[in-house]
Amino acid sequence: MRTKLLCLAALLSLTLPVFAHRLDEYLQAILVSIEQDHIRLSMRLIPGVAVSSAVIAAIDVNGDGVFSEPEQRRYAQTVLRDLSLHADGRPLQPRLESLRFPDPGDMKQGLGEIHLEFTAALPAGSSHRILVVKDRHQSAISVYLMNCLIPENHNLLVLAQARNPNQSYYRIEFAEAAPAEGPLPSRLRSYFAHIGGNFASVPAMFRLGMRHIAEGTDHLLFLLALLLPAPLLSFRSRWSEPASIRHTLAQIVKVVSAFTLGHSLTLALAAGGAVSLPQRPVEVLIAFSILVSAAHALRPLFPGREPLVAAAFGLIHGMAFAATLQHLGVGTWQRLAGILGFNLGIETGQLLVVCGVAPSLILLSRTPAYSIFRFSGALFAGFASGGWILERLFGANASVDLAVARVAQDGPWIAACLFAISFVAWQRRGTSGPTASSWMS
Amino acid sequence: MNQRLAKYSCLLAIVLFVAVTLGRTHPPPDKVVQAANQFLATLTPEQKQKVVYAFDDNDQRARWSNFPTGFVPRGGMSLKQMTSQQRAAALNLLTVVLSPMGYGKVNEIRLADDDFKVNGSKRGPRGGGPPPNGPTPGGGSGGPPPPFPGARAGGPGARPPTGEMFGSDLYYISFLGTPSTNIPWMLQFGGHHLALNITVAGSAGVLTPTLTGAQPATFHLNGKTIRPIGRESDKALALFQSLDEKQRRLAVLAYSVPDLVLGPGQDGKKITPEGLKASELNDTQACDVAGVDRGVGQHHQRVCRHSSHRRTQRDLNETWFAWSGPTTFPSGTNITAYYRIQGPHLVIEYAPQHDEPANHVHTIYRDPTNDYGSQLNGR
Repeated sequence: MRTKLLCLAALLSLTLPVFAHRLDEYLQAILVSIEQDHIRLSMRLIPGVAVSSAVIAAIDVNGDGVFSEPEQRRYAQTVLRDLSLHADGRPLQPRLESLRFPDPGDMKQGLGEIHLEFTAALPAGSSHRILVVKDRHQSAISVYLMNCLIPENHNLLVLAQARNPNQSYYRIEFAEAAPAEGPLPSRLRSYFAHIGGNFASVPAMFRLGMRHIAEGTDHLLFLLALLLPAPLLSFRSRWSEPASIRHTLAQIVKVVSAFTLGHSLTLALAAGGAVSLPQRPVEVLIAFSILVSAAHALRPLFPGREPLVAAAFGLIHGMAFAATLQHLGVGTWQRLAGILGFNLGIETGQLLVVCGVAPSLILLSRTPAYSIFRFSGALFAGFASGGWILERLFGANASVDLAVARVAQDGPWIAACLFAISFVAWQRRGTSGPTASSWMS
Repeated sequence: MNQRLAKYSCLLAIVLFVAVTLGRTHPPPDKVVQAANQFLATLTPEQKQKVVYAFDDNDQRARWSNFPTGFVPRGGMSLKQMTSQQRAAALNLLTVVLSPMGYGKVNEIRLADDDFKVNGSKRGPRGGGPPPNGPTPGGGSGGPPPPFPGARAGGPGARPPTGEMFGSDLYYISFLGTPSTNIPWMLQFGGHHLALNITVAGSAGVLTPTLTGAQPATFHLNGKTIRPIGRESDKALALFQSLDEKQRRLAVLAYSVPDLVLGPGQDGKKITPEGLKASELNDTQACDVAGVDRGVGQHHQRVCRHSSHRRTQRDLNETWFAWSGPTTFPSGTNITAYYRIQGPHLVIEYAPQHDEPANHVHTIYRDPTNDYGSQLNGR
């Protein structure tokens, strides 16, 4: 409604001679609006005082000082002929939709603005499209402004724009996604733009999955917090002795597999359209899952049942992954391939992180330093999840994303340092440390 | 470091531009209303009728331009038409509504018009003379002076240009609605190269769209060099210079931009952004910047208290910086390049005019989601 009123205000304002002033140039400003099945060109033509006489002469062919209706139509058609429009290499047939001409006297002073609107149907085509607009009208005296409105239809996404140096040539790449409710999340937009036209291909989706897990720090934080106590055994509601390496590895594999199983299931279901949850509760639940696993890392809440918890919360995380995929709007086969690639990307990213951290966890768990490490790790995850819950529930700005992203950015270094420290601590334990049985949580 | 600086300067540029808005010292609404009523009380009933429009008068709302008022008449009453008492009350209202920096800028734009009236553009004819010897409005281009037909059919509000084209007193004040502490109203002040559109709703206020410009954009008065739009030029240049090679490649557009894309008449339009995206700066000081950004967010919100948007990290990440034109300039001069800073709730354009690029500038500040405070008053 508001937009409509604004448009109305804009229209009303066009009845007034308000525009940038030109002198010896003929300014032609084109705004392209892209819609599902057609495009609209809104064109403003503003001759400067020094060139206005030539333009007036071209409009007012009988020289009676009046822009008659036929003269206006004739000129609009001339402009239309000088425009060329192509979608995916095929010429479009633009139609004159509306026209408005200023008073010739105003125009003579450089105050007049011609306003033309054209529409052209977009023939059906691929979801990734290229639109080219060329304006050759009065090119000897003209300067150009060509721009594209952000599509009102959120399923349409402008991926790239290109122009020649004077903007008389304008190329727009845009993608069309399947109808979906709500706007695309901004993060998705950038992925989408990043992977450009290849979004349906398996390798691109694989990379998207990798990136998603690398940047979706909340998923990783959940998993890592859950793995913190993996090398330990619980004893009377406390974490106590380190478990055997075999047990630890088995525990890690179980937790990671269960998480994978859980999120793959909902990802497939949600991406297939079988289940859907509003995004916000999902995001809040994800933050909550981190809180739970952080608490568990402090004191065993569900010892031995970690895989079950990982699977249960995995279901929730999968919903969020699906939200990333949901708007890509590709065909069923492409979608299946996409889900496969995306999920493989997530698994690979996840596995890389776990493999990078697990040796340190195992080594460190055999030293007295582990309780401090586990404690601080759990606190970090706890604070992050608390912040996320506040952000996602109340819209507060706790900058958690940034703080966590900053840590995650140096992830490989931190993992390497952690391993070095773990190794040194473990070696020192070998010479002078207490025996394993004397360690307390 | 560069990246950090870049984000920093980007923010500063935004802040400084926005500084003309309702100011860092947000005035209590009753003070604004009081100052407005003090001005209105100095008017005769006829004058008052001329100055106060209905709040829903969208013609008057959009009746602004970068043109001299002799070409494009404004509504309301000019400073020139006022008694000294009325003029003092009008200017006092501006000092209450605007920040000191904003008020200073408005005055410098008016003084530039005085200078143009006396000296004309550097290359063009003298300003101020009656037609047909008048200057090309906005500056000489070396082309023929504009012809002024003696009489012509009037468009809406059109009238033949008079000899009065330029001067610091040809700035008009008008109101839409009645000044009130709880019902939305609007104050407009503008003339050649200036259009302030201030919508006030209770304690909230917005100043979009705002057009500022100047010709001359550098002039001397009483031994002082004045650059009305100099801050916008300097800050953007500092931002540009802080970019590294790769960032510059992204920021610099490969085409010329001859004018404002979202100038007068282009209300509420959201164009697809281009250039360098702030999130692409991929900085290592994200946390520091978040702190700065929050500061700006709060600043901006204090300026525009209505804001239900969280102008936070997400807005910053979605903010784009685009540059077109030369990249090096003598220090202390105005840039001759076009630039645009665009975010979800912000458009700033700086467009040097080709007749005298360093000395003739148009700029616009908009919030396409909230032009004329559309979110304040639910219009």
